[in-house]
Amino acid sequence: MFKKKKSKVQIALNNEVVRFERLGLRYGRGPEILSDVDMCLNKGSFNFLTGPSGAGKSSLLKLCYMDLKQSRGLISLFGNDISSISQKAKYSIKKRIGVILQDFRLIDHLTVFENVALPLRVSGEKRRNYTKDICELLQWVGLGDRMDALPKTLSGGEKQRAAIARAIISKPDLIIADEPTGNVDEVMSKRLLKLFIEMNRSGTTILIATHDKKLVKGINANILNIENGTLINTNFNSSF
Amino acid sequence: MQDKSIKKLTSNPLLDPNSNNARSLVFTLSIVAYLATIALLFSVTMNRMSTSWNSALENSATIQILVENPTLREVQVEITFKNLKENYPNSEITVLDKKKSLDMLKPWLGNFNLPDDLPIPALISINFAEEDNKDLTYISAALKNEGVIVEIDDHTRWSDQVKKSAIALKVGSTALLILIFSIAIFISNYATKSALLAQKNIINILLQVGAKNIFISKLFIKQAGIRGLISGLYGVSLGYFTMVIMSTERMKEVFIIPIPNFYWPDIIYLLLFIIGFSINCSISAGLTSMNILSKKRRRR
Ligand SMILES: Nc1ncnc2c1ncn2[C@@H]1O[C@H](COP(=O)(O)OP(=O)(O)O)[C@@H](O)[C@H]1O
Ligand SMILES: [Mg+2]
Repeated sequence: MFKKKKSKVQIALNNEVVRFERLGLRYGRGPEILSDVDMCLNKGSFNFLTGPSGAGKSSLLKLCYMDLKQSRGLISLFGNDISSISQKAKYSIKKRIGVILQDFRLIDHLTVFENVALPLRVSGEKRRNYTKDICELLQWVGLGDRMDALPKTLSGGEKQRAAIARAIISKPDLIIADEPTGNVDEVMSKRLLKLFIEMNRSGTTILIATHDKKLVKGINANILNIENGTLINTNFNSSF
Repeated sequence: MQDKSIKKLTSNPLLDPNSNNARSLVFTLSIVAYLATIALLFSVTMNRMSTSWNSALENSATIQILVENPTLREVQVEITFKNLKENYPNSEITVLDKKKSLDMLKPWLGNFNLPDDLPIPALISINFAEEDNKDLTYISAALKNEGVIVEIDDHTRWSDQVKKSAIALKVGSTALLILIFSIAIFISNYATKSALLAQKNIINILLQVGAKNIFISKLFIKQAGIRGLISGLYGVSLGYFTMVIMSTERMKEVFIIPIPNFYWPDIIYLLLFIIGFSINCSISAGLTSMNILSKKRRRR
């Protein structure tokens, strides 16, 4: 139903979803939190970003969804160097990325249904065209009977599932999740992970930041580890 | 069952309608709209009043006969009256008696007791009818032939003065209106700025899910427009009500300034005014939000 229009540039380029080259990031005049990061996420890959708390995982994700600007180096998303593209192109890239953050970022005065509908509403979709899709998706993530609830009445796990539903409703090409299992128990985190794996099977690239070593185990995924401000174990070279 | 639950789903506005002291904002804007309404109605009435004064003055004249001998004066008055009647058959021509003449002269002679034998000119007033020619110039010549010397006051001096005051009033009330409208602009700007701050989280979420700046601005434009409409409606209704009360006969006795009369078409002006007020709020909210959002983008 939500067909993506691929621009000519993107077709011409390879299947790299995210590429960082010699990237550096600092906040204000502080020290570099990330330096010389080289990273490449291929289309359809499943990636974990690990590292201790404060290592810079969230910051790296922010760079991926254009919430932050790098201090130096190159970031390319879907084959576009984001420092040289128009605002319009940035909007269309943003629409291809689904983001799930630790604090869920749900809008308090909107119901679960309305929160999940946001990306579609923002891109001008007609309500009657997406109502059924959202109901199905909410059914699928187990929020079928909470559609009219306001976020403040939801449990942590329910909020998380609402946030996930919102991130995947527009069928993004890349899903970025920051500590998605941070607020839920082990059973729930297994279920959530299964959801991501299912999304991945249908071709979506996944990038999940976590400091939970247990989560990473037993899943066939790339593991990117941040240590001392730089990335190790990257698959940057293996992609060639 | 599925369909039923779908129909029940709400569709709230994306911006929180209750945040950012929405009520006090609407209250403040209502007061501004109220003041603007009063100023507007005042200016409309002044305009109307000066037009009616003017036409009253322009359609009338006074003729003085300056003869001291009372007998002679009476004869001359009669001749003049007859002459006027002939030339202006449809107009209202009145010979003022001594008391009325005195009243008319009071502003010049003062209010004290005047001696009875004071030579007072005889006055004839004329209210021109539509059909009659208003030209008085030839009459003095015609009367002179009959031995009557008259002084004609066609009120042009007055009507000039009235015109000048009317222009001054118009300029003044227009300036007042502009001032009030700019206050509304400032309030709307300020409200938009603080709403952008207060709803920063919502805006960030919208930006994150791919909303364009123009999309977010449109939300603010719509919100400000609705608020402008509501407060415009409140303010204008209250203003209208005030003016209606002030124009009742009872109130007319209380106020020194003549109070306006109301006509039906005024309501159309007021409706247009409400729409204008709302558009005014919308435009300023749109400009402010676009400005802030584009600054934010440049920082990123
Ligand atoms: N907005 C900010 N301003 C200044 N420093 C920040 C900001 N956000 C994060 N940092 C710093 O950057 C470092 C990495 O933070 P973060 O990316 O949140 O790490 P992680 O997600 O791995 O815990 C930390 O030292 C943190 O203090
Ligand atoms: Mg973090």
